[in-house]
Amino acid sequence: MLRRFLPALVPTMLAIAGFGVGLADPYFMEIFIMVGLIGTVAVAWNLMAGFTGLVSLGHSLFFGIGAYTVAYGQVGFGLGPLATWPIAMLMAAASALCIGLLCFRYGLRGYFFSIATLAFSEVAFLLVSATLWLGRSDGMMLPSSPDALRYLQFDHKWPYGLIIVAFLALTLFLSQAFLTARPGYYWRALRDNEGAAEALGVPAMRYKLLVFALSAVLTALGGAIFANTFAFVDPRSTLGVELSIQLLVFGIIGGLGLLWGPLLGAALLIPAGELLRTYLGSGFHGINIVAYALLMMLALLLPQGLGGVLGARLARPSAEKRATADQAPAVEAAS
Amino acid sequence: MTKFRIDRRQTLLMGAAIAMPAIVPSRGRAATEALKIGVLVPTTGVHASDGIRMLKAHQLAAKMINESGGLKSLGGAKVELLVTDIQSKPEVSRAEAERLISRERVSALTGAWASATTIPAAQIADRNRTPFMITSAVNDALTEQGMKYVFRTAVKAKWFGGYIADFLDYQKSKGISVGKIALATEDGPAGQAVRSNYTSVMPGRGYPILTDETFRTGTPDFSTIATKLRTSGADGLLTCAYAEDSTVLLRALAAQGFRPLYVGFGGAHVNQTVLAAGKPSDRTFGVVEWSPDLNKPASQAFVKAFAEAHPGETPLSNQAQAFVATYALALAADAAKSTDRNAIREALTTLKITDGPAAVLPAPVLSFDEQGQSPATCVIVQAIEGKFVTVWPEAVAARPPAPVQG
Amino acid sequence: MSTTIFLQALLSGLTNGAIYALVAVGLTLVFGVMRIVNFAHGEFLMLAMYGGYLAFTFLGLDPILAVFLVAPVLMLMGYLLFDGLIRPALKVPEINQMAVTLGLSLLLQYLALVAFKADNLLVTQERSTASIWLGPVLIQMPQAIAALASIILLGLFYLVLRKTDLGLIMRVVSQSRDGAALSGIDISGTYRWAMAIGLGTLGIAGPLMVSALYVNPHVGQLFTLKAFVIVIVGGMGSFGGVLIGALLVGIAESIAASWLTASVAAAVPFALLILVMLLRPEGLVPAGGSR
Repeated sequence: MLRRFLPALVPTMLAIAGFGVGLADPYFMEIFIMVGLIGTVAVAWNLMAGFTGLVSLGHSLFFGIGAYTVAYGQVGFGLGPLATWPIAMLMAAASALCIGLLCFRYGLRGYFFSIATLAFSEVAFLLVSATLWLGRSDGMMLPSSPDALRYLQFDHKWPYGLIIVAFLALTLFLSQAFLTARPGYYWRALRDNEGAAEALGVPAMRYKLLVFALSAVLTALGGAIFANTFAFVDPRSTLGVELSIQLLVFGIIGGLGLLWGPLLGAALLIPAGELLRTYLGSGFHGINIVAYALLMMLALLLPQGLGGVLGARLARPSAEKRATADQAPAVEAAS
Repeated sequence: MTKFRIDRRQTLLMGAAIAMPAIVPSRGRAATEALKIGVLVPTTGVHASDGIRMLKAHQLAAKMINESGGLKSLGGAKVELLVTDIQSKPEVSRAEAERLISRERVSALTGAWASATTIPAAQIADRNRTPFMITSAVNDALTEQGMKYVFRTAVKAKWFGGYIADFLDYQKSKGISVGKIALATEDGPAGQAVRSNYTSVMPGRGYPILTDETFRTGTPDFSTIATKLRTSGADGLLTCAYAEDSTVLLRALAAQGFRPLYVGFGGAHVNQTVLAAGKPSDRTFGVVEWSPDLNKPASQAFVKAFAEAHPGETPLSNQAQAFVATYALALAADAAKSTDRNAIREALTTLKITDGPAAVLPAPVLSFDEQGQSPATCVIVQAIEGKFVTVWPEAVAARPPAPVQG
Repeated sequence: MSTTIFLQALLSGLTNGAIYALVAVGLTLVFGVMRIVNFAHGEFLMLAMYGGYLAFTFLGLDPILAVFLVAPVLMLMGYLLFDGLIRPALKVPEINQMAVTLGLSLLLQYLALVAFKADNLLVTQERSTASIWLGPVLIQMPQAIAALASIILLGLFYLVLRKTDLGLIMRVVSQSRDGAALSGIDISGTYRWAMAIGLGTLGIAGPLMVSALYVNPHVGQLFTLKAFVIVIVGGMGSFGGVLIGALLVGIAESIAASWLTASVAAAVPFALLILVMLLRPEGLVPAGGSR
């Protein structure tokens, strides 16, 4: 049992340690929150991309559903997270099922699926930018309320950090539970060769919809937490394509074949970006150039990501004892 | 855990030691005596060209303050700008504000160009009881929601319509009558606010709006919009667009031979890019918060100092706002005799600048009301022979408006 | 909406569509032949636009003439890009390919930012405000020239594909790479040509578009997504499809914009994409053939 959940347990313990450090240093807590939030969403995204071979470039749609449900729920109806979070997750699941049904029924895969998801999230972005009661391009501020606890409004940062630790733990353990059971094996089979998998009796549609819905629900929860933590949502930061691309970048750098790969990617890139901005100041574009060049080289030369390299090192002693399914390098040539 | 903390601090210290020359201007004084102001500007991303310009203005203000002896009441303490790139993104602006407040312990913040990037940063500053001086964002809510630590040198979106109506009334009194208006605004945070304002103000002032067109920034073709504007029967056109879109729109209008009385919005119109379009932008007006040929001594001094620091460059309206914002924070600290955030905030509420190097903006007094808003005003400039010239109000105009045709 | 406005929207839509076709044709060629989507496509257009601007400002070259300078440069870039980046990328999974070309897109934007600063640059000529009137509606001259060039080029492409050996080889490789290899065709060479021509078309579009629009480091972003939409709507790897797809997108976008608020109108091409993907995923004019 412990062995089964080790890949979820270790990152969770590290996150708790990180939270501890954050308690002493508010700026560290700020970084911890960003890493924890976006990193966990990236883990959820990766269930589809790395494990099932369905690369969504439109995941910000679900993040935005989470964020705006909370924002509008509070501003328009006075609802608190206890109501808005479940509503957001339901809406995300429903959207994922609709989009999934439409896409998979026509056999969309590979680049086509990715661009289709991108199209859906762009439409959402544009429609929200045009909708007055969602604040249009200005976005919505979540106003302060005297009933602070109900709306999760805290003066300090650490309660949000705690919520994110819980979110991270939930996502990791839940995902690992699925990944080490039948759904996980079916997903990997679909990733490696959908045709062969179907021929062997894997119910492709059902399991693709399952991973899509699961991933969407967790992503929406992340968006909801984002809204309560930052008290401001706008189309660009919650529905923009930049967020979706961030998830991809974290996954690539950290390792797509690992549960915690994207989390590692986030933990490396977000603080690195902050540090570089602090110490090299503004207008120093050179660093971005170097960063993206590095990303490209990594994607080309190290397909299993940094996490894959690390994971392989760690797994070497027990390689003979374990089935290789989890530790195998990320996505082989998926077509 | 203790070991982890020491290791991290050592790394940060080493990094700081290496990078110190880059971020701290070399002085003889101890760092703790300076007034640390966090400057949030977009130097990369879609607003990069504006952000880089704003930064120059902030830096000039700091330089002028420091070279004239610094903050006298604090023993000549220098103004130290901690500049950060917000990448034209709201979430980065927010994170950087947080960092400057909690990590760098700045006494105040200023910035952050667009409304979308200013709102999150201002909220963070207010939550953390740190004064935030808005330089350029026009979103009304920023000084309407009771944020005690947020102040603004810029004009509110809802005031622009009134100033334009005043100008059109003035034109009418001189025999140039503009009866019916058309609008063309970009459908994003800047344009949407301006459009709401114009549509609610102009008809009430006697200027009915016949058609109101929107476009997204980056639209490659404006022929259809130009046709709609031309066939609407309007003789006045009010726009809000980024500079690059304005050039395409102006060319489209010229291609159709349609020359309404055109009033562009803010620094986005009163801009070198727009002038580079040549004849199509000639004789167009712009409503701005400031103009380099303004008839005020402090303003002239600012323009001169800017040209010395950046040969061949003339500052734009938003840069004057950035310059004044920096000065206001320094003057408040000086008046408060302290770099404490609350003391500065208190001093800002009673600040009244009528002369001196900071009296650059057209309004007679720079002060901040209980919502932090300054009574900022606008001037109307006109593109005449390749330059923007102030033509209204008469008190500060360089010359009267030139006819739109001929 | 009056008839004049509708007709103008239609005409503008057709003109824009023709220009978009010129931008998208390179993308569809590369995908058709190599099955890779270049997310940095728009950035090469941006570089070509800078090329046009520089040729005009420093060499005094009219943009139409600048095409003959810029297009070969872009072809060379395509050639080098293939060997330097695309060939290795073909060996890694699709998701990694996406990361590579996305990284390239951002890298090029930052390089442009360093080289050219963030300012918007214009090419201003007499032509810039000239127009061709067709009754109550008009086409602006720079747009008309770009649209015409596009149609000529697409016509040329059609001829090359149908009548020349190179064209035949490309079609064969698109349809069946393994079959082509077994027939002794130099796959790498074909890929290299496809990349070179694919970017070369941007070298024609760039100078012509900069005289209708403007250039800054991020201008490519305006076209990348639109090009994807067009390529998929038309049919990946299909030439007739690119023109049909582009005209459709151009017209839909233009008419929607004259009718709806801008942000809603901007969603229309994506809605069109989704519709096509669901009803006819192979595109409106499918290229045919499989791997």
